[in-house]
Amino acid sequence: MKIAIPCRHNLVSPVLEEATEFIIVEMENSNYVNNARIDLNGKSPVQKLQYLVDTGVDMILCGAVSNSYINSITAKGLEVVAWLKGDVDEILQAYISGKLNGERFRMPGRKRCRCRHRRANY
Amino acid sequence: MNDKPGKKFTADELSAILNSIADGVFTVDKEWRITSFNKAAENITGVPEEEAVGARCCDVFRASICESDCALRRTMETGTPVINKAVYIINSNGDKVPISISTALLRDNEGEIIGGVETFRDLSMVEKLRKELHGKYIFEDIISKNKRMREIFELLPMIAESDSPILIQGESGTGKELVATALHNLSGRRNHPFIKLNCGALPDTLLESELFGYKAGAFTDAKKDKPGRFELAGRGTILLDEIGEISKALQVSLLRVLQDGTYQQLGGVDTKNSQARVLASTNKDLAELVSKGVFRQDLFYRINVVKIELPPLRERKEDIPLLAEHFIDKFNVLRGKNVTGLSPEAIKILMNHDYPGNVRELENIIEHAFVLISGEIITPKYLPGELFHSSAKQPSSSPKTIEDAQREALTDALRRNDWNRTRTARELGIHRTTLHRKIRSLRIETP
Repeated sequence: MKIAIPCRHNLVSPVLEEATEFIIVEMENSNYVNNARIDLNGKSPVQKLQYLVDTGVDMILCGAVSNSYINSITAKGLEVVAWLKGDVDEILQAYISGKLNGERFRMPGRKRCRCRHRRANY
Repeated sequence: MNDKPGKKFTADELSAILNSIADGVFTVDKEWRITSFNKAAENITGVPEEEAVGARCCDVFRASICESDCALRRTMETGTPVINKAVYIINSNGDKVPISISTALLRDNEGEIIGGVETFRDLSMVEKLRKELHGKYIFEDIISKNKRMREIFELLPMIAESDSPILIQGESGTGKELVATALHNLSGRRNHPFIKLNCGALPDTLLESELFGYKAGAFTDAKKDKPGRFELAGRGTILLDEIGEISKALQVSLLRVLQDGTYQQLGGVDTKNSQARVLASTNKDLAELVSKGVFRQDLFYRINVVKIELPPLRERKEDIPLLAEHFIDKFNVLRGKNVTGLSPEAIKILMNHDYPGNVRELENIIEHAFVLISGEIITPKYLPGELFHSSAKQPSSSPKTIEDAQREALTDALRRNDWNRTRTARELGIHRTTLHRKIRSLRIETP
């Protein structure tokens, strides 16, 4: 399973559409297999999403995201856990141990993290 | 003492003042943590004050520029304030909200910098009004605020409802096909086919078989029957583009369809009926072709029941910014870019060009810019080179009187300023009233 997290230094980017850097983590049975940082500076939101799809990303853990962009992402068959804030490594650990719903990682103003899952109908 | 001007406000009073402001206001410390957050900021972002205070500002504000070009960071580093920068934020509901922001440094009593302050204004309503205004100038897919074009827009629904043949005349690239499509979509035939055929693109014999179809065995290789465009159109609409190009022989067959609604397939013996509505378009002056004897007079009268004449772009230059904006939106979607507009210098160059290729040429110019552009604003360096040669105005035939010269100069200035009189008056260094008087006395027609 491949997870992409938009980041700035070691923190999750505030707005997914505007993120320029992503950490892509490949996981197998709750262990990291591979860990890469990619630079998508200068690409439009549509191009960024296509890049993530082409790279084989299954899930995006991110900060704020607009409803229209979240719809484009799920339409491509990717899962999204949005409205997260904080340190990328801590978020990954929390995701693995199933504690991502904690108050600590929730962006201000959101009642709970928004998780959208849908499989694409290819 | 306390009532004297310059009194120190208590924290509660300060917060009451901030909360009474219609603009969103928040302050941050040097660590980018929010230290105060007013009521309007709560409403615009959807984040309650108690959650915002103490949090990192980008996690609360979630603006498009937080990542790469934080205005507050720039102000804190350089000391220069940012004023009215248009960006968007994502509110707690996941909606994109257009806002304009301004920033400034926050200093304590000793003048030490203790953080920054950001004020922002919700532009959703402005944006909505802008879109509504823009919508006023769109008819079907045709965009214009030109007086002559608006008159055509008003006539189109009536013309569409009638079943008469229509002649659409206009230079290449003026949107003849768009008008034809609008006529079809507005008519009662909209659920039937809309068939287009460019008469100038095919040799005569091929054109005849395309229009009327052929029977098997009509000529070598005609192995089975082929329906013509008239048959395919059924009860729909058929557009004969470049009608001025068809041969005299074919003009006779076409006249018969228009007169009796009947035609014969190539190699066929039966007479077929056509119920399609005929629209014809041309970039030539058909009346002139008739006087030269190239086009049949009877066919001309048959087609020319209602004529729509589309003005060339150089005669409706006030549409250039509107059309350019439309093409920018279109190419943003097609190319996945985020171009926001044209620089004032680029608009000036576009306004000075004469557009022999009309709207299609303008579309190509914008597409050219999209190939080269890397930023958000189209500046002159992204425009094709030929625009710069043509923008130097050719010395026209000299005007006869001072009045003519004034009229020409004023019309040019008005056109350059998109017919905005206040801007024109400012450019010419005269008062608005003087400009109005001149427009009246020189009888300048404004759109």
